[in-house]
Amino acid sequence: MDTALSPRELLAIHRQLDSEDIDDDATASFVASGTVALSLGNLQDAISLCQAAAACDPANARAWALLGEAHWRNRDVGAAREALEQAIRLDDDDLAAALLCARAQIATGATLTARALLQYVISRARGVVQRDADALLSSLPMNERGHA
Amino acid sequence: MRSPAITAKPVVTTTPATTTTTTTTTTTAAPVTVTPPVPKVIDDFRAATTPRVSGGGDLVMPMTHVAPAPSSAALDQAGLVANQLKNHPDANTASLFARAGDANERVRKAVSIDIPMQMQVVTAKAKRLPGEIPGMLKATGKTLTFYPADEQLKPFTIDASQGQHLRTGVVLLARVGKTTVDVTTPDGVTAAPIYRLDNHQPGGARSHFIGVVDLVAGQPFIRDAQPPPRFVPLPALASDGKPWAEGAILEVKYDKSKPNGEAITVMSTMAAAGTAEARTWRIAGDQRLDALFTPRALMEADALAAAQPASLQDAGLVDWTNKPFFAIDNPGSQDIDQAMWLERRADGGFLMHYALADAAHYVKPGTALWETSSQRGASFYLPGMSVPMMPRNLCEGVVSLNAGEDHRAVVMTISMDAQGKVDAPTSFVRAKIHSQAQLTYAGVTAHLQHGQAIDADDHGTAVSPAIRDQLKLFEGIGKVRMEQASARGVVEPQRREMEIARVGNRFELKEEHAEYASALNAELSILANVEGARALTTSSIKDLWVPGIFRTHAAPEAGTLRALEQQVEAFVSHHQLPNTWQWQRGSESMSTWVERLKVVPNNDRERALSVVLQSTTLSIYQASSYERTAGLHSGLQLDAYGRFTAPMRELVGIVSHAILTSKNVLEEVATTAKLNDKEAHALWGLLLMGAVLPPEQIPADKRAAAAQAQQLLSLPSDQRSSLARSLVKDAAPMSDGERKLVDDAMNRAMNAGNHSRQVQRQVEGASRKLLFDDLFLADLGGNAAGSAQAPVRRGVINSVTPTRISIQLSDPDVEVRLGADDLKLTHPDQSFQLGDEGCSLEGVGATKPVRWFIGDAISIKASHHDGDKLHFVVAEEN
Repeated sequence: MDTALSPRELLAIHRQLDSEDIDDDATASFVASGTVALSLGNLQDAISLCQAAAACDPANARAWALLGEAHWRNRDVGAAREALEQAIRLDDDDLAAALLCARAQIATGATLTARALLQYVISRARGVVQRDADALLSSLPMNERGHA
Repeated sequence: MRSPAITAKPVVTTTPATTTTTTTTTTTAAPVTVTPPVPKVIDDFRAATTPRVSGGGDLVMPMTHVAPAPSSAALDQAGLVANQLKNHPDANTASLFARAGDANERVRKAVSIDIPMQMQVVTAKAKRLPGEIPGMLKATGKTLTFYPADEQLKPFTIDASQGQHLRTGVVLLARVGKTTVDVTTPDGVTAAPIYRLDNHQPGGARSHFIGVVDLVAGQPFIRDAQPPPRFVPLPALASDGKPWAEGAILEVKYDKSKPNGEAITVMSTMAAAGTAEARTWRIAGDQRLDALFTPRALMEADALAAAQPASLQDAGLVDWTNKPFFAIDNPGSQDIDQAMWLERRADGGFLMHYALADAAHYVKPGTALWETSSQRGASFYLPGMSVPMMPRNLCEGVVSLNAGEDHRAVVMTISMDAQGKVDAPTSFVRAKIHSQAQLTYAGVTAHLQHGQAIDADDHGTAVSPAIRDQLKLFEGIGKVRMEQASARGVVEPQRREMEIARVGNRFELKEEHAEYASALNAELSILANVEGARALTTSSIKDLWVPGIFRTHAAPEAGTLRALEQQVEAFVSHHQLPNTWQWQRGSESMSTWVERLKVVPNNDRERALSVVLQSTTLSIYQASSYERTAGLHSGLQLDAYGRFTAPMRELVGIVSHAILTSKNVLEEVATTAKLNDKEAHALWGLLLMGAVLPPEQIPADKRAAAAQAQQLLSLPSDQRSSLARSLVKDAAPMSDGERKLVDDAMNRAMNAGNHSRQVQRQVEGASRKLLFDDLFLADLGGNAAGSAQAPVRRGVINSVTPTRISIQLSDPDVEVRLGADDLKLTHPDQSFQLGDEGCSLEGVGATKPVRWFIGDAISIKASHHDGDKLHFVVAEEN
């Protein structure tokens, strides 16, 4: 089984690709096939494809969000958190990714950081995402100093 | 943000065409992966490369997973890039893409197994012109014509001198840019820029449009201001013999039959190049706002203007021309939607006769005016100009309730007790009125608050005592309705209304002073919309289906309020404010707390913090929208809210009036003609279809009856019964199919209303960019890259998100946003995340992490301009 690359390693790879001549649609293509791999449950494939997408275009928030979801479902919470935090740094409108990011932050012990993110999600989301975020926040202890 | 490192490169495989066309397991558009065997003729080529269409329409995917299947093109693309990079000299990169290539291949297999043929193929018709078009070149004499593989795309000619090295008979790719078309060969090495801009878009240029003068390679073109870009060559010089000024906005007529250089006739110069006006027109173009109307719409408007005297003789109108109606609006307003006539009841209560322009009488389904209104959805407002929904001779003439003229109106008569509570059913009549004065908010405010005389109206016409006497009633109704709003729990944070104005050749910020009279009038207008909505949700006829459009505004959910409470706690604690600032959510309403926030501050700092906290409460509300079912409008704390008061500016208003007036007539004739429920329902079906459906959409067997039913609205009451009786004699009840037709029409109007509001917001966003350029470009010292001497501007952080902080500057009074990239310029060693219950953005990864907390003072300065917008950076932390 391949070892997943971290966002930092991916960014380094992107720098390696600076001189490459890659079509603009390559990222979208990798994201499309990564999405299908994820939906089929082929987690390693999804990770590889989303990593390729993120390497082609590190500013593609969808690529990072999918990568984070794939890591999360693959139970690699550290890698999931890193990728999802990168995703929401690029697109804070993806509230589903933000909710998953908060889960990953909680799983890695960053409760206070997760609380702040959940407050943000709750104040903007509607429906299932809002209710899930609210339930998650309610389950967290107050005034606990987590770590970033 | 796209990586600048990634550049365009054609991707062409060596897969035989026959193989490509068999990839019907996916949902691809025109495949981009075709190489020889070369078809013998162009038509064969098209047959071989155009995707098979089975019914068109949207994708049908009987799959268990939610993800859309990638197109074969996407899989090909991913595979190609992966293949290309698996040989990368860097081992990490090579390994990454090798794995991606393998994974992609597994996905391809999985998709081809799991997603069989049941899918329908998306037609190219549903797509916009793609950025990359496969096709072939054909030489005819000296002309080279590029034939796209997709037959729905128009062939275009290319310059033979530039395309001479391109091969005919092989598949090429055309890349369509804003002003160029590049054709590339299969090996991806040779690229030919082709500058034939007059013929590269399907459909070609329109015959009458507003366009921008563009100089392309030194040649003058007029480009339709609305996308997609359509260019037509201009004569070498303008009519004054001078060169064309790039960026000028022209209204032109285009005659395709004439040769280039003579095909364009300039009708008028809408704005000179480089002016603020020209910049505003470009916003209108980008948002597809067309200030021109079709010849048919203009003809209809002229015909309505000519027939206006006859329309005022309509026997169905109540003659209220002797009643003292008057309007209050902004100075110089020419589209007057509303007028009023107010009476005091003997018991101290009020009678409010609220007249609304009868746009629905003039703009009817099946007309070009209806079609145009449906497409636009609303009038749009830009700095210093507007793009109206209907021609100006209608919205500023025939339909507008101008003072001193007879006009048709839908008049609501609302009866209220002395406390402003509606205490009797509201009546609706179509009337002929004669507004006696057009007053201004400023004039009425000065009169009511400072006793200033109000002798003449906005047109200089003397104001009669009958009008002046009503102004105290106007104030009385407005005030008691404000009290009602307060009692309902309406949250009203302190706000300053700012307007982007065009002043000379600049955009400036102007504060819209909240005129007292404007606030009073808003209450009367809200009441009219409430009563209109009530009329659509109740009926004297049993089980009557009344399709309506309502404006709803969802209340924040419990979790959102809880989150806000916790944020307030964090805010109060951080700023060391007294407990009186806390929101006691369990025991007080949000409106009570917000009212307290207005009075607790003791100094300027606290006043600024109060404003920030109030704006935080506003941020938890989402935008209101139009819906088909009545629902809570939480901003106004109303159960049902309609939109009746802007019928000349919103399609929803026209449709709402059409339904309301039809229902009004139905309920009247149901009584006078003694219709039973079944007959009333049958008549209602006819009335509804006539009200909202173009004749050609009404089933043929009911078309004539539906038109006759609409004539009921123009008959005097005493003649309606007999016609109604004759219409219901053999009428069948409204079928499910007919009901669906009406429902669909209402949905279209609702969608047009929501879309137009979104467009207006985008217009405002684009206008803000122009404003910022004019406000702050000087800070950069004339250099887009910025200046070290840029002045420091102070403000207060009023919101944070994971990607940005928003700062309310004190001078000028605008909100500025700093994105993560801007923050990184001064804090390159940190990444950012939310902290403190979402009240702060914190730096991570540095020895001295930064923290920006909402309410904190901050200093920023203009940093650079990226060609799209101006950026700021943090100047110093306080």
